[in-house]
Amino acid sequence: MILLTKVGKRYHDRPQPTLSEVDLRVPAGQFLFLTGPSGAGKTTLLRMLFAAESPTNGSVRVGGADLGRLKPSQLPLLRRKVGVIFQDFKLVGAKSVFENVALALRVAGGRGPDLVSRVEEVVAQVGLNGAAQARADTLSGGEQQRVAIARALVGRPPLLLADEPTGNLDPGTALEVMRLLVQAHAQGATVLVATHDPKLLGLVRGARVVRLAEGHLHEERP
Amino acid sequence: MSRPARRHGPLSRALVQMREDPWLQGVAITTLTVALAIVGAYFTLCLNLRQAGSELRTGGALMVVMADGAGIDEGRQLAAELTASLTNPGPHGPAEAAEVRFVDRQEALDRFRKQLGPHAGLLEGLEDNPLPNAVEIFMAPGKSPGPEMIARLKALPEVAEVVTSRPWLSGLEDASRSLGEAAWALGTLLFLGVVLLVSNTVRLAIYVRRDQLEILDLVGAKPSYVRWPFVLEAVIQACLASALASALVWGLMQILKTPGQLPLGLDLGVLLDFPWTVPAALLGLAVTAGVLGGLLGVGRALRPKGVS
Repeated sequence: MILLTKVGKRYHDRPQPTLSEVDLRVPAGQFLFLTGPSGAGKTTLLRMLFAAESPTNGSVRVGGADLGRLKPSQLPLLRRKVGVIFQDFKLVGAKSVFENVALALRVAGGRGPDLVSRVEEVVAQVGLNGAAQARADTLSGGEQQRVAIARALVGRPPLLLADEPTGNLDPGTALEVMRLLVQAHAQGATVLVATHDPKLLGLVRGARVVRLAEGHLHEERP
Repeated sequence: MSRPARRHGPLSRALVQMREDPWLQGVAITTLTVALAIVGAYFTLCLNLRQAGSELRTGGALMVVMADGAGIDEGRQLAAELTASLTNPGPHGPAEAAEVRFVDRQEALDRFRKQLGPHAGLLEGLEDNPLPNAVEIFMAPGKSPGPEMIARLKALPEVAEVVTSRPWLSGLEDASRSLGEAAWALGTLLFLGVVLLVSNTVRLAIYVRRDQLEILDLVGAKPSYVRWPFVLEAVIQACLASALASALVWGLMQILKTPGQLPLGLDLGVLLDFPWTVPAALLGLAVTAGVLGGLLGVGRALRPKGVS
């Protein structure tokens, strides 16, 4: 499903490489925590998986496709297969919860009653059915994160990436968010969660944990 | 929670994003209106000059001023002769004049007094009527008082002078000709200016919505999904601006049309026209500039990005 081979990343404004010789293989259907301190390169690695960032050296393969050889016209098709949950949510504040979630389907040509029923289903799944018509920027942080999860889930992507999904949330809401990710995993998605919060690691039974430190990847819990 | 499934084609998305940014729409439409009004005013000026030239070349009037010694009887006699020779079809074609009319000195003075309006009192101090007897010739539609005809009239013994609009008409013709030569070059420049303006407006709209566009990119929107609403938005803005610009130029024409007299009784209002071709051309130009400027704008601001 995901295969990183000797991946390195160096930024011009930093003396040390962010990632160095990183090898990682994630089989389909795995739940993986990517841990490490802030600035360890977790976000960089995650962004490489949906081609928002390219490695300085090495190769990144997702679902059999070598992302380094991807043409710009193939990029949208890859991104439709990867649901991404961002730490800062990345919602369109002026649009409703429904419209934010529907966006992921509309860009792929979704429309009509099928789209409406699927969006309603996912919005209900994340517990926001009462707020579907509310503007996204009027919601609390926890609610906005749930909208972001709903948007990532609505297209039934085989790969789900979450970057510090509980970073801005209180413990109760964080638990609820993790429950949604576990639910998505149970439905067959491969889930990668980048977090620096060790408390989250115990919440998912059987999850694999890898740690990024000083650019290198260490297996902590296979 | 059930809600109707709405259409979400490019046009619908363009209208939605226009509604989301009324301020941006105001700025875009206002600047485009000003630019298109300049184009419209220029176009109207060219059309009017051309129209004026052809109007004045044909169907105008000329005045045959009689010599000092020629009295009313001679004037009437001359008018009758000219009526016979000019208002009837000749061997070489249709009649040259539509009407020939004798105007005696008193009628000329009365007419002059009327033209002076509130300043008519200036004439009160005159001991004698200084105006001569004259014959007015109104040319037939499509006919113009050519140099031959003027020379023929001047040669008549009872005629002192023939007054025509020829000298300033020549000036108008020269201006019209020069403008006609420069019209295409200047028109093309103005059109390119509008295209560039539309392009920059689109870039501004893209900049304002950059966060939303980043999200669209991240959820897998194809470039065409993002681009077409911006192009359509530019076309809609340009169309609205063309309507406003037409209204603006029309208003300007109404102000300029305030009654004014040109030599030989020609009305300024006849020369200043706002033909339907102006709004039609502005609309066509707006649609073309909207499409070209829109494509140029999205092409410059939304170049396909590879990974960084």
